[in-house]
Amino acid sequence: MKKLDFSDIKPYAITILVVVVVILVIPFVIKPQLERIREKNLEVKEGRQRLVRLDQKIEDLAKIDEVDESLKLLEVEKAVPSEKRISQLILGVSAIASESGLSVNEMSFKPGLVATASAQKSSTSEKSQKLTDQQENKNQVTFEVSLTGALRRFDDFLSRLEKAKRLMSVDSVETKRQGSNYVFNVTISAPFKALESSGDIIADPVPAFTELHQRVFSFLSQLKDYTSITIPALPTGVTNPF
Amino acid sequence: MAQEINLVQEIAEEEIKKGVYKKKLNLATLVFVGTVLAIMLLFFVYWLVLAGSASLINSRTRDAESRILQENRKEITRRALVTKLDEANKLLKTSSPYSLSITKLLTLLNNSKATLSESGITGSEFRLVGSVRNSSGFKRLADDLNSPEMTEVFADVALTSLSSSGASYDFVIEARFLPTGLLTELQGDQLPQ
Repeated sequence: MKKLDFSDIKPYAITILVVVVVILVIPFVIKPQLERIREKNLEVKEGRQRLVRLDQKIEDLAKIDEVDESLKLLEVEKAVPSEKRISQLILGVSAIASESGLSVNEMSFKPGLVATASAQKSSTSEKSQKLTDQQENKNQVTFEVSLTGALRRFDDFLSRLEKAKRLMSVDSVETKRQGSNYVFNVTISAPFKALESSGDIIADPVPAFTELHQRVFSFLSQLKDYTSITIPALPTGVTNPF
Repeated sequence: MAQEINLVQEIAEEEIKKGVYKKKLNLATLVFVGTVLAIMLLFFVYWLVLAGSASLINSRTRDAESRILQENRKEITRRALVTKLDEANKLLKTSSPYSLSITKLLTLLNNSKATLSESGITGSEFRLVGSVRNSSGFKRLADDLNSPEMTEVFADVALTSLSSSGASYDFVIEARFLPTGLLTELQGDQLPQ
């Protein structure tokens, strides 16, 4: 049997060793480098896209007339306020009823998540329980109004309510004859909306003020305001607030 | 006579061959290592270019962000305005103009001289309970409910109960209230199209 003779490859040992080392080193050096390049490339691509959005936003912001839009917002705030503003709502609905010649018997509001002691007590009543059972939209106040008067007056009341600046939606109407008059039980919802923000708000595009927005605004601005009543703040937690 | 054997020449030839192979192999190794190094260098240079580009983009982004933040009042106002108008539009589109149901109900009652005992409307379900003095009054009520003016507002009108008490008739009528949207309802006479 012929013995292996390493003396022939001995002169090439160093060369072969170098090639082997280089081949072995490739995955440890080049692969991470490729990974870094891929990440950087992605970072640059995303950065470029974001920059384009930011530049577009700067352009869009430059076109906005701040004074005009602030005035519009003040007007729209009366239709869809940022808070519930229940006291103004009560006074507004009472004013509409009074102008229509109806008398208000009762107004029941659905208690909020944190109910006061009085609200908890009243919520045990059948009417409030019915309201509590309904699924309340987190962006609207739902309440029930009981009114007494003539049917024609009630028609006027609903027309005024539908054209009131503080937007209100009638969910249901029940009418019952009582002597020469009628008792009307109306369930009303009034929306409110606070500004919510989430995500990359800086790079988010400025929402467009479209033709539809302009039409809705024009419609809202001609409605009659019954609820812009300033109610002075009183101390809370006292026995007699008066 | 002795024979001449030239061994030196053969050894030199082998040596020369070995030397040539070694040179070629060394050259090939050098080319290989050089190529690998060149590729690595290219990758590094490309990464440097990308890093420079990223740094430039970051600096421009910071600048753009600060300009946007300087005008954040404009953005907040626009966002609040659009959000509220969208909410208003949603309500105006989905609310039912129930005043129309009462207006139509008044017309029905007046024409037929009927008396309303009870009525209710939830969603699109409309229920009417009342009485009429005589059969001609009831005929008028039925005719009116089927008139084109009323069918635009009430659909699927059904008489669920009719009973007579003396000369008068007590009835229960159920129907579907069709109109939806306050904006469309009020647009015709108040808003230019």
